[in-house]
Amino acid sequence: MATDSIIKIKNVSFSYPESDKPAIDNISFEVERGSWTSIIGHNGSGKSTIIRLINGLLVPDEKENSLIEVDGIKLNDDTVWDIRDKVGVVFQNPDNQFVGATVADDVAFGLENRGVPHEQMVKTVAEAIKAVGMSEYANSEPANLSGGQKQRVAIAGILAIRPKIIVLDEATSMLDPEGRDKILKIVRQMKDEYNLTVISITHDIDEANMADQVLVMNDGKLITEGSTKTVFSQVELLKKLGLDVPFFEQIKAKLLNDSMKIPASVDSEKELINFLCQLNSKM
Amino acid sequence: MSKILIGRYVAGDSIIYRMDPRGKLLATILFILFVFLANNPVSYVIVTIFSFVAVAATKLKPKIFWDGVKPLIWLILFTSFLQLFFTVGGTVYWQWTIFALSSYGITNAVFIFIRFTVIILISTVMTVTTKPLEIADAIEWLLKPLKIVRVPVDKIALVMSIALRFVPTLFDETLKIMNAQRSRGADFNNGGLITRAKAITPLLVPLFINSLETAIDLSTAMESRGYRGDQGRTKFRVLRWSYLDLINLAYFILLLILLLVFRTH
Amino acid sequence: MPIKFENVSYTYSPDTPLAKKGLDKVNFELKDGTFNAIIGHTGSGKSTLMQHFNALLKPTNGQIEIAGMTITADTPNKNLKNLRRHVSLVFQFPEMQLFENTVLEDIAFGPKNFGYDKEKALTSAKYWLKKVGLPEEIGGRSPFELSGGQMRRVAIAGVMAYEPDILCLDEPAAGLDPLARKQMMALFSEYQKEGHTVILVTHNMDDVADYADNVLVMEHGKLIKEDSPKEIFKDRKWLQEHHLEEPKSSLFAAKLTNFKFKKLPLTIDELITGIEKNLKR
Repeated sequence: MATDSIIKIKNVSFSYPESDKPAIDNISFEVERGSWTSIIGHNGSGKSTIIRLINGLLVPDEKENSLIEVDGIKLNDDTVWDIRDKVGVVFQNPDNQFVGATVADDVAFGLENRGVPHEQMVKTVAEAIKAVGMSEYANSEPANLSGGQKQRVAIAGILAIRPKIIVLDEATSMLDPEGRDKILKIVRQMKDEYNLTVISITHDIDEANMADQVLVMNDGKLITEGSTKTVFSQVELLKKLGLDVPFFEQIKAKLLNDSMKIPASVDSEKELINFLCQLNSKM
Repeated sequence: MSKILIGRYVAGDSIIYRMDPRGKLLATILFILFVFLANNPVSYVIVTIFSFVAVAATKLKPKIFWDGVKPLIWLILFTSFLQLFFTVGGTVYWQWTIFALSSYGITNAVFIFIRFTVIILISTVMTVTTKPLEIADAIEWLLKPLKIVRVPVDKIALVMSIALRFVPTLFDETLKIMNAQRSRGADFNNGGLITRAKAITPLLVPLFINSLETAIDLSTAMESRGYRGDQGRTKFRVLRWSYLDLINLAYFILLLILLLVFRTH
Repeated sequence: MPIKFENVSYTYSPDTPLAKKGLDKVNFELKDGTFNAIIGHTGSGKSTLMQHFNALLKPTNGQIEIAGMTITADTPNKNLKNLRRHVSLVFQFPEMQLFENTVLEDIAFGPKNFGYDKEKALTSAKYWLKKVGLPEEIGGRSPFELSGGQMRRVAIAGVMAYEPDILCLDEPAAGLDPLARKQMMALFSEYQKEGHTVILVTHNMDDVADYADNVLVMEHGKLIKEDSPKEIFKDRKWLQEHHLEEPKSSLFAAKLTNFKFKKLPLTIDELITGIEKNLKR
């Protein structure tokens, strides 16, 4: 499907040792370089497991035709560290991924692990902290930061490694709306600046709607995928899976239900507003 | 409140703050050894002056140092009293059964009192002017020679730094869980010893489970950020010696020389 | 009996250099059986305010009348258990409070503390397990084997199982998936309709619009506005000045520039009705 795929997943399954049902059930998809992909699905649908498979934190079930490829590198025991250089993950709990004693120390953690020389490290850390707007907090301890600020530090720690892919694993779900908006703004900016590929796992419909491509998961299976427009217009399916739909789709569905005629071309909030306003002026 | 738990660092600015923590730690250890060289009034006066100069150089309020001594004041006084009444020798001023007040007793009591107090003062100078993390760095440096005998000093250092970093987090968590259980009618303050010990289960279990979860999350995050043990790791935080540390060193060498000269041989 | 806050102030670590005002002369009265929402930014004093409802924090100044008790700075800790029997608090991420061997025992912990006998506590636990939408067979399992969402439900059941007159909730649905979120909110709304008072601390303006009768807006420890959702969300300029979000429905309605809404639509159904009315003229 995608012309230049940075991630290729083929026939991947994964079962937890003590479980008889696979957490990931024969999944295949591709992610285009420089794109934004959202993965949605209710808790326990297997969204986060996929990420842990992509960067080798979990090892998929052995199958002959199964493949995980990131930026042209096939994932195996020898390449897992190379792949982790390319994939940065921001996890859900801001506190539980803050390793360093201060903001600067934390941002440096990934660089330390990769044996970056001290001089260069100091420079890179300062730049990364600046990029997320945390310069004045460089020496602050995590206890004095808000959840949103901690997540910004996590992003800085990832940027410092210069990855190709940044993954938000429900990274905004424990934040207040302000913190969430700030994080998404920064990620958007960084994506444009460094041509990053973004994968966001989320319950937040507005966050999911920022994507180019949406994957819908349920019970370890990939139910549907496509552009936000094609996926989110399947209001009934999403509702059945217990998922949110963008607000304008809800309105559209209700109006259609009340036998109003809305052309299929109306597929964004803006167009729905325009359509309704025009309709109203004709009255 | 979390400050009580993670040492007693007090924000401030003076030359002592700018000194290298390794130098401060070393100086503190040396000082404690040097104090035992003092054995006559002149040498005790010297030790006292040296420690008060160090205290003054922090530019902090005397109360902070008093707070350092306060918790131990009874121990100091008790030990001094033992010396006062149980030392025999010199002129005896007063005696009753096994108790005796002698000139030796009086000097020994004063010496012990001074020795205790200055050791606490100098340790306080270090702990209030050095962040816990810096102390951890200094300890790591001191332990470095142990690498030869395969002690994983770097790992110990990382563990120390992560432990320090999570103290306030754990503290907050404890408070949250306590409040949540109080809301459900748990009572942590009333009842006898056994009731109280029982009452603490609803606090300890969640705390343990949550810490475990944090540890799992943290190790996942560390691995995904490329942590693979000590091999080829560099360090972001490096300590650098400066001329201030020479001053520090010179100060304590001077103390050593003076003590060697003025002590009774 | 209504809840009455009179000139309530709270200072964190008073008489120290770190002293910080948490609440600043807060006055309000909440009627029995109402659904109240407390909104405001992180650090605006919402959580501090909430902890006053069951006297986990006691006012530094002023007094609180709640559940037949009067709480001031001098109220002794001894009698607070009786207050907590009537006023219960659900903290953010309450699943962290689970500790018992089985789900049912954990739900029964509160009721037992508040004087239910063993059998009655267990009956109540079973009832509330079902009420929060969990299957009966989960009752005998360890709460730590459950998924995050299920643990949340167990924790909430544990707080509702002694049927407090006043239920205070701090972001009870944070991190839940949309369906679970809706179910939880419906549960609280039903609880209120049965005659209990519900107080919800939230950032979600749609929940405020959908469920609340009364809204308290906090800023810098002060209560800056108290009114019905309709009145609060009517003044868009004021909301923007205070960086508060609007419910999705009223936001959408505002974008329909040539529509006239007789009353500001706060919920999606009101919005749909409003749109259709406009178009049928």
